[in-house]
Amino acid sequence: MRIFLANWRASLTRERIWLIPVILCTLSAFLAPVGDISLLGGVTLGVVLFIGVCLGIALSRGQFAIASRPFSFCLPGYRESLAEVHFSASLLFSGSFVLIEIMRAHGQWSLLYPDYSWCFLICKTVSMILMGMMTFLVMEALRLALFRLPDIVSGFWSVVVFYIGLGVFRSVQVHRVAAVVGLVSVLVFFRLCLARMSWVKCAHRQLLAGTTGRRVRLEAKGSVLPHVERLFLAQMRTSGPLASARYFWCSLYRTLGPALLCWKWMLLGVVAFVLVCSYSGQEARGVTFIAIGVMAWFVPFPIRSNLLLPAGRRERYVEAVLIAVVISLAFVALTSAIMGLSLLAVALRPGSFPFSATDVRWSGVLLPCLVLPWSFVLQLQGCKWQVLLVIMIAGGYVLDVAYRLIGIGAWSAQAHMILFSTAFICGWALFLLSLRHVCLRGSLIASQVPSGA
Amino acid sequence: MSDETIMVKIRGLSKRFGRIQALDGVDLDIERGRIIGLLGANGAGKSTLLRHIIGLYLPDSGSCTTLGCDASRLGPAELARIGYVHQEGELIDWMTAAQLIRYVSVYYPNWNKELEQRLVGEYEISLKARVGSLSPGQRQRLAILIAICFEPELLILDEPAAALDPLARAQFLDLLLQLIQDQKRTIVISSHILSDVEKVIDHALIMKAGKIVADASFDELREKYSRVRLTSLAGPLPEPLDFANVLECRRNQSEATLIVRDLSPELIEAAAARIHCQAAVQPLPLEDIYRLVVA
Repeated sequence: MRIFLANWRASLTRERIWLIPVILCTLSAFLAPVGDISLLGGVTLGVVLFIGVCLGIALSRGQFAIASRPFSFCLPGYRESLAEVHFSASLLFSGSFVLIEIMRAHGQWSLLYPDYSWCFLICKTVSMILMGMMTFLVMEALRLALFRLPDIVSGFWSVVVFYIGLGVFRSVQVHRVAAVVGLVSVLVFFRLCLARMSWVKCAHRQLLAGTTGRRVRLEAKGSVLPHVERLFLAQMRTSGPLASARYFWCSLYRTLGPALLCWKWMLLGVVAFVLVCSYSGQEARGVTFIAIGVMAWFVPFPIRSNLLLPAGRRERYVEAVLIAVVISLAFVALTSAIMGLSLLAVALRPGSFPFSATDVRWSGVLLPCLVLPWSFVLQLQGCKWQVLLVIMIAGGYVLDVAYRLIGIGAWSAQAHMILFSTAFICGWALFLLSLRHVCLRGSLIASQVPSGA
Repeated sequence: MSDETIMVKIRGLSKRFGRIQALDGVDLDIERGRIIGLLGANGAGKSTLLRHIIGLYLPDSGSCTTLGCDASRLGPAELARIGYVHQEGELIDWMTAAQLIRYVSVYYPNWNKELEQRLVGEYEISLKARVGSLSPGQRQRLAILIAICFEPELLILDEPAAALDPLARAQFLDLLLQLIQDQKRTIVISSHILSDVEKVIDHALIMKAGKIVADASFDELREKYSRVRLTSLAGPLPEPLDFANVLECRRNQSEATLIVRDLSPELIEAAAARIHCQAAVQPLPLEDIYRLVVA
């Protein structure tokens, strides 16, 4: 078997590789209704930037995995092989740009282009492919060459801003320029960069450093605030040794602990989220939908654990139900706070900033109650967070399309209430059944659970 | 044997993971006060069996009763009497070692603070360090500490010493020997380091492909298998040697080393006398016994 095929074959066994095209296709579909980027105001720019960063990180992680595979080092002609793998991966990435163009065409509700548009599309497709390859390779170079996370993030941002800039100011001439620059960058990348062994070594070194870095970061962090710990321990001790209340407090402490540990970052995240939501207007619903679903995945249910504590299957079930309720209420409080802060941001904005307050509706406030059970179910079934992200994005897109197609927005308040109640009951019923099955009949050995569970 | 003396009772226990038959009709009784060594190759089903005992896995067929209760229905009262150390050393990573100890101790009314402090000192556990940042050996020591400080009646150790350095392993064995002093305590220890295990166990269970192939007291096993060193007293040794139940034989003209099964020292002496040899009988180490049983 050729080394090229062996590389791909080995890489395809890693889910992060096959997840990339899935994420790309889903994001392309998600982007389609946005339409022409040049028509974007400040409204959806936040969403597009967010998606751009996700794309960059997801893509370079996959390719990084290929480049840093040590078995490649021992094979003859591995440098050329790696270059070929990167080249084919960049083609795959470029395909998503073409897909975006096609989806945009359908987004305008025109199944058939006028003849001249087809010609334009073909011209644009070629330049899109080259532009996509350039974007990919620049990101890959940044990933391989830069070590520190801030550098990588700033690198991604520069690429994203560059891409957005091209989109905003694009014209046929810009595409030609982009095509030429793309072609040159591809050639330069292959001739000068990938052919040098130091790039591969650098990737491998980063891979190893990442593991050590995690440990160093863990050591550097502080512990849960002492008075918070004291509060939980006191609550645990006040209940009887075998009382249900003790198990509830223990589980709550164990579940909320990781969040309490990084409360400053969480606060910062909320502020950032408020800004994005305020800047994104109506699109904020989609971002909130996805963010809630993904964040819920990181809530570690105290069900599957190899650390044996005196809590039987029934106790674990009851604990998990209570924790799910508490987490849902916490998320409702969080979305309410975000909406409140969003209103505040609009009130305090400078005149030139195009902020728009997030809609304060009961459906928005209670959105977590609809999204969380589905996310919990996926977590219970051992779904990985990357897969969950794809499902949430795809789910958000399907719901959005359904919302527009069926015209749910125009339905009466009663109909909305019935729809909401049905979705709420179905979601929670499925969650409870799934939880019951895992707790009372499933394996309680931790294999794919988040850290801290 | 009365039910009160039996801590764990397993009947016809089977478990399958996809195509792999992890456990195949296991029958087992674990008596109170026993120190049992669970031996077997990787994938033999040791960890699966131990996880059934504490109810983390449920059987496909058969039953498992632990402390008089069906393992799938073990409640807080029963689980508070069981300590478990597992090979992965999974703990709660975001806590510091001190926080983890405090957290776990809340669950147990009979937490032995004195033992905790002694072990923290002996094992040199860094209380301020985050659990996630500890080395595998330190994590394992911490896992051992929180599994024994509430003085469980049934202590299940699944590869407890795998991540420990030789010094820590010796300390751990000392600790086990101290725990054994309590006659009521039952310990099941699964390990690949047989030279360590044989110092503490009084009963051996050997597993192969999901089945128990040997279930006997360690003394019985040592009596069953023995090494015989024969030295000729007159001329070369005869060809063949007139010995029954020989499993292995290495010989030269005047000396031979045999590994025999089910032969008492008296029978060996008599057989050696018949061929004009002097016989020296030695017990086999657990490692050799294990090799013979599994083979």
